[in-house]
Amino acid sequence: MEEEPLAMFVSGDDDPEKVGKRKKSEELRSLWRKAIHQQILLLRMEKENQKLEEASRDELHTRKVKLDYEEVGVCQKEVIITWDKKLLNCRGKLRCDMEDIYASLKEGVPKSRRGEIWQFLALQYRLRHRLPTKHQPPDISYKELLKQLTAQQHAILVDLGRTFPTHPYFSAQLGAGQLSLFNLLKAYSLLDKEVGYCQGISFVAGVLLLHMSEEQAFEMLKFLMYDLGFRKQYRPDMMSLQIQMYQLSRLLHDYHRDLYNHLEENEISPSLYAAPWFLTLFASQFPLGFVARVFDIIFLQGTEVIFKVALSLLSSQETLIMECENFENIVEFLKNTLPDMNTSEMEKIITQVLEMDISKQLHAYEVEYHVLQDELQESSNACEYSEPMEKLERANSQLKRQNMDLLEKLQVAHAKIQTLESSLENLLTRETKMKSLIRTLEQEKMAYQKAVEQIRKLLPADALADCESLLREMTCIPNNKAQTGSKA
Amino acid sequence: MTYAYLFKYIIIGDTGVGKSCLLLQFTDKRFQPVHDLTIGVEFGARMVNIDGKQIKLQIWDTAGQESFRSITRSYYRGAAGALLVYDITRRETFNHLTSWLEDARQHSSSNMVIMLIGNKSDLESRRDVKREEGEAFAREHGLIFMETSAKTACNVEEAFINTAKEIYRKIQQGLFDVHNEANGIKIGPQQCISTSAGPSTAQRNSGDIESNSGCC
Repeated sequence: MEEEPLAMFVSGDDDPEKVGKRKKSEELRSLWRKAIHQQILLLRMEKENQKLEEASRDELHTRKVKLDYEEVGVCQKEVIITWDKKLLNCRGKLRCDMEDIYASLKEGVPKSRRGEIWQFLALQYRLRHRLPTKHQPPDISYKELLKQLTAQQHAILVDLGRTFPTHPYFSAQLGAGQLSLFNLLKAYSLLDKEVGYCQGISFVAGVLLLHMSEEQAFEMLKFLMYDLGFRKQYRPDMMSLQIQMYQLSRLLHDYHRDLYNHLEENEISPSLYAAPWFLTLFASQFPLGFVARVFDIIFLQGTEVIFKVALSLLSSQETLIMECENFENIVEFLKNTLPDMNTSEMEKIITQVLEMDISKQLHAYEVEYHVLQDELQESSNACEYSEPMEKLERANSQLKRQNMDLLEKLQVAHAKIQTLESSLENLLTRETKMKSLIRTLEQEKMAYQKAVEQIRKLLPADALADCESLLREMTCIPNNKAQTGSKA
Repeated sequence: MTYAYLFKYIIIGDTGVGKSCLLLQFTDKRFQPVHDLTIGVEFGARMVNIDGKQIKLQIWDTAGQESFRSITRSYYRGAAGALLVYDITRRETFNHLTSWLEDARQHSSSNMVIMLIGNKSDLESRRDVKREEGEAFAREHGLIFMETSAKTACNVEEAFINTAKEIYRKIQQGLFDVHNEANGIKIGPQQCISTSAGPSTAQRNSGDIESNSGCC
């Protein structure tokens, strides 16, 4: 093919009628020049074409690599059409009916449109919720940020190889995926000076990059962090994450008591398993199809989706978790078995999440957390010294034991008092009885004395003397007391 | 599998010093340069034999980034041993040791055995912290010290086992109350309590803790 045009030029202009050798050779030379020039152009064009083809093939290939995950809940054609209509509206920045959006979201999101749909949802959210100026990110363009240097360079670089390390788009060391990820994280760290780069963000950024361009991903990362408020949990003190752990624990306590008790007995708190759920929005452990679906709902409902998914995951596996009988088994289950669900299980979770409403509870638990925190602060202030936990625990158990001892003693004392009181009562009744007995005896005695007086009066004096001597004889034998008694 | 004791370990240190790689080398005997970021805490376990006693090590591998400190603090509770890791090719990871140590001392039992580890000893050409500096720091703060390589497995086994030996020695000396789980020691299931501790003759083997140099 390359020889043909050249041959044509040469043969076509080789006219034997032309005279003048010089002219002929000159013409020939110019023709040759022309031919070579054209040939070079042709070759260049071909090369360019090839490059273009390669580029578009590359792009297609990259897109394929990026979206190579199994979808959870495959969309019907009609759903794709309704989404397309919505996306068209999106260009006009019109407010769409939220109920309508929610209904479509329930039907599913096609992965080929996912990136656009997230941007559409973000736009819809922003049309309804205006972020107060003081909470808005600084207004610096992505391109501008990329020109700067970040202090977090090392931290970001180290984590590039540890973010989706097995995903083909991100696995190549300093390949296209890692480069985009680096740019995005660097730009964000420069935009949000307080958070900078915090581990966990790289997974969120990675999921975004799989669905859209770098610049779009940057805009959406800003949306998640600032508009939806995810950036709070990445702040240096991670206070917000601590609150979230408390909220999850309370949700379990209130709605899945058996599970809660089982985890408590084995000393497993949410901070042992749920930290990556919150900080990577499930992206570090769960299949991408599931993660993408969770992101769909997050773009619609915000941070509370993480709680709903967490709660739904735990409750759906409650029986299996209850069967794990020690710390290691439960942790192993939560970290490795739980994320390894099949598609139908994942679909069930998503359906559940879409029907759940826990915003009231979450709010109540947050308030509760702050109240508890304040109380703790007060009591520790009162203590002044922050003594080690151990010591306090020992003191506490000692006091408890003392308390028990004292209680026992108290009970014994009470019993003693009761017996004493009843014996006292007995004595008192006996006393009154005795008193009445004495009274009757005295009366008897008086009666006898009277009788004796009367008998004495009736008897003559000598008979009395006889009687007395007789009596003396008689009483002399049985006892002296009677003798003296009768004498008186 | 039954065991006489269970010791809880915690691995701490800056991000990227090789904490997860050390754990993986110890539990699975392999090096995996490409692995997931540790967010929060990961777990590993292995059985070791100290003086003829089966001891289960339950190891908590923590996130190293500064922001995670507030979360990591809650993981110290009940740890019997800590591996404090720095990277011998990055001085700043060595410079941060003091603050790590402060955290560890403040949030754990005073008896916790701390092993200082200078990791990545295979990268001798890029060394940024001298072995002597590590040794000096350990001496000054009463820690055990070793240089390891999670990549070549050099001294990894020793680091974990020597820590266990030291804990066991403390139990035998009666420094650890094995019945108080806040100390990070649990008596294994079906273990008669009378088999525990008491200054016995089985103490010797643990004497070689300092003499570690080995391959590194």
